[in-house]
Amino acid sequence: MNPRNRSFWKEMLPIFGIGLGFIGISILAFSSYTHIGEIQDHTGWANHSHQVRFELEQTIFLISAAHAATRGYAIAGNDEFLASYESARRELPEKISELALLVADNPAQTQSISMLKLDVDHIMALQEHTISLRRNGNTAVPALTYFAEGNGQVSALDSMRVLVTQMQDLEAELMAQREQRITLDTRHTKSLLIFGTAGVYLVFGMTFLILGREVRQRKTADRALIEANDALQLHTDQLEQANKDLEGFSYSISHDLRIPLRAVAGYANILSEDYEEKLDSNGKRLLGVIGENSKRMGILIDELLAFSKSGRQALSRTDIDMHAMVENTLAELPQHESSSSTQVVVEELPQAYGDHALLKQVWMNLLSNAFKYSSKAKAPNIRVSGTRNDDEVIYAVRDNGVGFDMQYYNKLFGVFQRLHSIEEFPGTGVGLAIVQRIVIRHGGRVWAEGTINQGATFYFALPNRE
Amino acid sequence: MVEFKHVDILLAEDSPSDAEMTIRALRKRGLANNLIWVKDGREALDFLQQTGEFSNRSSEIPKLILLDIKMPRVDGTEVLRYIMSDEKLCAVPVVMLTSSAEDRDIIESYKLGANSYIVKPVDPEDFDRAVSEVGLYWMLVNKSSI
Repeated sequence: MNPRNRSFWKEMLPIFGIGLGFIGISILAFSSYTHIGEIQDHTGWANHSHQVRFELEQTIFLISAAHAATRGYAIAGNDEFLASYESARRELPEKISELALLVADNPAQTQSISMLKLDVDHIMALQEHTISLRRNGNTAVPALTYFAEGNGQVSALDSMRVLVTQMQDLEAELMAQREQRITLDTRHTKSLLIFGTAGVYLVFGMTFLILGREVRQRKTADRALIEANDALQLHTDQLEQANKDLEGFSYSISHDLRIPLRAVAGYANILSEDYEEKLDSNGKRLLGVIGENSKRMGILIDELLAFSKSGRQALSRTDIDMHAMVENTLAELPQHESSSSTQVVVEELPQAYGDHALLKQVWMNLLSNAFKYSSKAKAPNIRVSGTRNDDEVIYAVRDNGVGFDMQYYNKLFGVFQRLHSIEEFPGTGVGLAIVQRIVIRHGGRVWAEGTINQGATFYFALPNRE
Repeated sequence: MVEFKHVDILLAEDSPSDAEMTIRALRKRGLANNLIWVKDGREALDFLQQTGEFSNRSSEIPKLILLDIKMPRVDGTEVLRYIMSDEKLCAVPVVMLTSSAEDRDIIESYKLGANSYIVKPVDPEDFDRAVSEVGLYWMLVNKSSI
């Protein structure tokens, strides 16, 4: 697993934790809700059973009442008994159909109801016939005899009682089964609530631990970042200070180094002027050497300052007509006038975007080098060209002079690095270092190709304007 | 007490060798007869304000002031600032003679009102030429308001 993946999983972990916790809570809520529903159902079922049993009791009561009334009428012939019989008779079918509705969901009970209905019909028929015997016979005996023997109808009452008891037992058993199931469910739900809640607590706890660790880590990282920034700021301040010191240093060089140098050159000159007749030719030569070297040192100081300046000066970029700049530079070059034998070709050059003064310095150095190092060629030839591509403009200065050995390429752009002796070609070895510095400050690059005695080409590339 | 003769040129220069070469170059053109050399800005101010060593000097104003920029105690730009703030002195041509070719010095000097800014060349011949040309121009060619 690569570090990016690891950090991805590390970041996702608390989110997973919180998600898991919410899923747990949802499961707990759902199962509680379902269980409450079950209990509600159970209460409904209990009421239902109760009602079934009540209705059965009622049926037994009504049929018994009708039976008692029938017997009473058979004995006494009193119409009062008849009224209570009639009322029971009216209510019974209603009760039966209510019962049938109540147990419609249970096939066994429904079958029992239809048997019950059969029994009720038999008993009712017996009662009806008994009453009509009494009413038409005017005596109690035949009616009572019929009522007592009644073609086996009497056993229907017993069978009905047995049936009702059976039905009530069945309801009770169903009820007990439901109760048992609900008790078991309650136990399960309780366990689920206890363990589920514990699980959710655990998940949330761990998530908070992870988040806490994350926050601590982040705080530590923030602190480290602040410290790093402070260190960087300190470093920048130090660099700025160093830069300022360097500026002061170069100012001092420009001022303080020149005074004694001027004195050396000046007093050697005074000596040669004022004591001309007292000096022999060797004495004059020696003074000449002092003068020459002072001059060289003066140039070295100037170049060193120019190099330091090329790094410090702020860039002010504009669009530059490089062709015109090269022509102007050529016109200003002393070598250009003196060596008319040198053939210079300037091709069409693309525009550049950069600091006018600094880029002019680049051309100045590259072109004067080209003149200098091709001056000893038979037919000196300098060619300036340029191309533009997607990212940059590339300029090239080619000469057919002494060239250089690619072996020493790494010394080419170094400060005070020279690949030729001063006697051969004068110079301080700062020119190309300045070129490189200016181009790099523009975000560009410099490079060169050369072959000994076959010439050299110096390239510099500047980024296109964005 | 020193007797003070008539002064045409005030030269403030802390380097004795530079001063000697400057005076020599001016002398070649016959311009150094009435020249006074002071070694720093403080002495230059004393001369101009007739204080200190120069308290007995007449209030005569020089025709040309040559100031080195980098001097101990009081530097050239400060002397220049005083000259330009003085009603009588501000008309005197002031030439900054210095070793420094730093842009900030040049800009500062011209801003303060220097008439010329000469970077003293290392080459003795160039030095002679630069100093004598400045002396000739401001002493003889230029028509002063004084």
